[in-house]
Amino acid sequence: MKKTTIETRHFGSTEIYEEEIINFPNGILAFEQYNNFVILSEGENSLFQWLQSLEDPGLAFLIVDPFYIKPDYVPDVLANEIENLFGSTRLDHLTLRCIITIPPNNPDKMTVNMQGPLIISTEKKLGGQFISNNDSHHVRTPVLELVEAGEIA
Amino acid sequence: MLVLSRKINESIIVGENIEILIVEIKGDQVKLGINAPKSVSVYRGEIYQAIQDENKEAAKSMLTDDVGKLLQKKKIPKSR
Repeated sequence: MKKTTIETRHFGSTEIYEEEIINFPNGILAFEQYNNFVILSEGENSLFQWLQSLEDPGLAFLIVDPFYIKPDYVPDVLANEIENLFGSTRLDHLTLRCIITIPPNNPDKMTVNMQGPLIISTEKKLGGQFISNNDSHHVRTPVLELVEAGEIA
Repeated sequence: MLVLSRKINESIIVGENIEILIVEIKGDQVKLGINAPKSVSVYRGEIYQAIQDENKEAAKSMLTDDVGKLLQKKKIPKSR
């Protein structure tokens, strides 16, 4: 496997394997021009990962496996959109992530975007942002309130 | 922007295979019927806008030690 050095928002220069690069053919909404990302662990014990852009070192999204925040979360995504991106409706190779927003200096106001989940195939090295058609999935779901509501497994 | 006037049960065609039909007009609300191939996604504009806006905010997220402490306090499992 071939290693390459990239510049990142959170970790400075970091070595990654080229095989780890994930292509987002349609980018992420409002960032459509950025198509190549890599997922970096925040730390061995951290809930969070960074979805780091290769094209712009300053662009990185904090992401989370929504299972940890809301174990019963299942996005309602159209099958044909899955098929358009991944070439099949097989779900077993797909990974679900949600983008976290932590307002600077206001971490207790952190929210998770459940209306615009990311779906990634590490097998095909493809990913995209999808729209959940469930009206109870909001772009700004307060994380700590979910925790207090006893949603955590 | 192209603006067209349509009446109930009239439609417009976009491209070769997308038809948008005016189904009902009631007060300030219009019901649209959309005929499009399965490969075409149709969403309400405000949902796209909300996700775009949120992504822009998310790109400014700051992860500090406070966040870890907050979550520890709330007993989120650290790893599966």
